Amino acid sequence: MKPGSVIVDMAASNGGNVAGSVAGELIVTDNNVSIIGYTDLAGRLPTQASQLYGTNLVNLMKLLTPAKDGQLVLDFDDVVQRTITVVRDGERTWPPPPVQVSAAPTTAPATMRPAKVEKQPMTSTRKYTIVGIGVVALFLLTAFSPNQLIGNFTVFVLAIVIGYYVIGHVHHALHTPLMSITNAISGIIVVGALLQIGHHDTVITVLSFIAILLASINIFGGFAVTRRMLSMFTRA
Amino acid sequence: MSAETAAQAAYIVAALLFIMSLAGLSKHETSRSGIVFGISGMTIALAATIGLASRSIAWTGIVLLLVAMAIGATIGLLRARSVEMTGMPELIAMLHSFVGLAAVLVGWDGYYQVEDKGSAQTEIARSLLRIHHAEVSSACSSGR
Repeated sequence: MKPGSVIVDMAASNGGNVAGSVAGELIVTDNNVSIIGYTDLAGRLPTQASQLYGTNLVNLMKLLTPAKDGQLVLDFDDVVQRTITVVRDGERTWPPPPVQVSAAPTTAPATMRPAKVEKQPMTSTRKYTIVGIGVVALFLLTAFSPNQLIGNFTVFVLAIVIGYYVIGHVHHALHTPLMSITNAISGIIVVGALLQIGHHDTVITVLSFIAILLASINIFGGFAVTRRMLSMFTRA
Repeated sequence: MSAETAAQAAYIVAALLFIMSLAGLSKHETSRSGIVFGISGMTIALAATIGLASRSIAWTGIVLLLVAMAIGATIGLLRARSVEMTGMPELIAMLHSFVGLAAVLVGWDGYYQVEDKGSAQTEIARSLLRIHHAEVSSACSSGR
């Protein structure tokens, strides 16, 4: 075990479950592991509980009287003091506001809320302006691009629309598998390398060989990983 | 039906299968068929491309191609099987950056091929290539 570990052997009076334990004694091994073999654990409990509770109260008093002069000072910005106050100046302060923890679940809704508020004030004129600018930009981009690109633009725009509507309402649990399969499909870049390999230039062949290798890792690995993830969802 | 039109048709079918794959993955009930669609789409696209490539390149090229795919498939399948579930996001990110790297290499290759030919065709390919590079670098950075 790690140095500093503590083992409480509750069966020490009957010989013990731990090899090194001695009934009624506290043993510290060479590895700095403490083995508690006390046989009167139940008898020690009240003392221990009183000690813990007493420490709690002392710390609370310290918190409530910061100047150490016996004067009660309530600081409502302090989470502890706010949550244990039920009434203040004749006003009910219960229930307290939810405690803000720095864990991810509470920060996520906090960041979501402003976004929602911002979305509403978007007026119809503003919406039409943004769409209009987008349409004009797309028009100019396509009109001034070389002929060969126009077909590509068509595919690109269609892909955006399809992608938006296909992936729009994904179940939360399926985000990661969807990411993974999208990634596997993006390995289609291998097609480019497949058409380049075998030409007379050695540099091109070597580069496309590496490209095919990397993309194949992605394709096969990606589909296999997705399948493995989905197999976790099956009901036994 | 020439080989070119057959390949184009295969690409369109594969694209449709990919869309169905993504759509399937958005619901639990259809997620399994989604994977099947994805795999069959990829198989069709690869078969069409290899068929197209085999007409213009020497047998050494075909051998190299198959060897590269076999090595890649082995590594990919082994990694996918051995990875811990908690390490999954890292693996996917790593695979994604592989795609980015492959795209860079393909772009690089394209640059070499175009440089050899010269003339007006070069201009279009160059502009495409620049767009391609932008996409590649964004793919790489998001992969990391």
